Amino acid sequence: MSRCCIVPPTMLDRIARHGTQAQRDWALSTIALDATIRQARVQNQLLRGVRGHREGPDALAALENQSANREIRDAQGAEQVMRGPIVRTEGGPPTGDAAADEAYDGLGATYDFWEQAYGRNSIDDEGMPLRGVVHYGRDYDNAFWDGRRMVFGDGDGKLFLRFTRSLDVIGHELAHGVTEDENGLQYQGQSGALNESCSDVFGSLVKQHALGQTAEQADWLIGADLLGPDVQGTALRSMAAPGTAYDDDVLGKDPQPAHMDDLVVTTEDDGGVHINSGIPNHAFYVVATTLGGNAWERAGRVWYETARDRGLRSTATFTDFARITVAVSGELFGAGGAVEAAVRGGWDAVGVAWT
Amino acid sequence: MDVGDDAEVTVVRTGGVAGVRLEATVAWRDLDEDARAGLARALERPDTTKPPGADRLTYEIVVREAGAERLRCVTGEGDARHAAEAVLRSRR
Repeated sequence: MSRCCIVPPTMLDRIARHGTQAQRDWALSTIALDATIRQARVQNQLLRGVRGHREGPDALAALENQSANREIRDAQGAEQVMRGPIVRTEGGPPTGDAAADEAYDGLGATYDFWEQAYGRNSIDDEGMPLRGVVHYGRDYDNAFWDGRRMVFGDGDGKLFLRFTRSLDVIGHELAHGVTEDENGLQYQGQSGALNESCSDVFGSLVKQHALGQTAEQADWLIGADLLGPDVQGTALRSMAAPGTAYDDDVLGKDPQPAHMDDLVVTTEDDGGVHINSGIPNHAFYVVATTLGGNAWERAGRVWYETARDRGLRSTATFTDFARITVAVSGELFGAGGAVEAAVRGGWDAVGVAWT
Repeated sequence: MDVGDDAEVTVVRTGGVAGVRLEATVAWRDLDEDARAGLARALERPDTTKPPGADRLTYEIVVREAGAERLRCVTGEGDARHAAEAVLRSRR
């Protein structure tokens, strides 16, 4: 299908009136398509946002693909993401394999969240297929985003259970794809911690959206379903109370700080990306619970528009990010209003300067 | 690679979606041949290429002899993962 309507509308109209039957059919279908595309272009302009983002939701792409397009592959214990069989595709029946079906359902819930909350059509906003790989490796204690797909291990059964159990972890991995597409926050130091935090924020919002929970009802935990039976802890991370998710003989104590005074300086973990993410995580929690209601509607919207803002550099610090959230909240919901005040309060609570 | 039987090896795993730091130390002699070979390969040729995406695991491997550090490397998930995990499993 060509998107380029090079024949002028007046000519199309004339052909539709005076051409042969075949020419008339062609002209009428082209006119109809042209009108749809024009409408989509107007929609694109309207959706582009208040701050002139480099690229808004793609209504043209949405014309061609308006729903999730999932593909689940079974690595069958190998550490290869392309070799195993595809066990479920979009619209296919359940497989009976818990990991494959959880991944399929989780990707669907994640797609629905982005589409319904922000009008975003998949990871790239252009209907990118959602690919999941399950049963990766033997006792593989991890899930990751490899730039093209989400990969899930089964866990070792002692420390961690299979990683598809946790909807917020599935949402977390897919959000890495969104971050990669929108701003490419470098996976190192504070920008890496922001990258991780955005994945926790949107991972938690995916779960809240799926469960219909308000900010007050949400548990604000990441990976609450993942810890093995003998682990002393409730989750991998707590956005409400960073540093309290676990305290275990083997795992140690949750190292996340909740305030800049406790920022961890380390060379491990790409400069503590999973550790210092506790600071922006908690800021978001404070904003969302201050505002109340559905967290994805106002707090989440501010974070999403910040992630898409052309002023957000890939090397952004917490302060860079905070400044943009304050500006965006004023532009979206009114300068000096309740949302902006809540956003300022969130960053104040964790000691991040925003002025 | 020549590592003495009295050596001990420490593995620290970081990163991953869990972001949990796991550390374990074992005597070199207590590892099976596959694990020793995997660790030796990692120490000689660590995988330092940063893979695309996010939430990948990283392993730091340190070998000490008579209490003094002799070898150290930081490596990605590649070939060393199974050997490094064998060390970590010894703690559970």
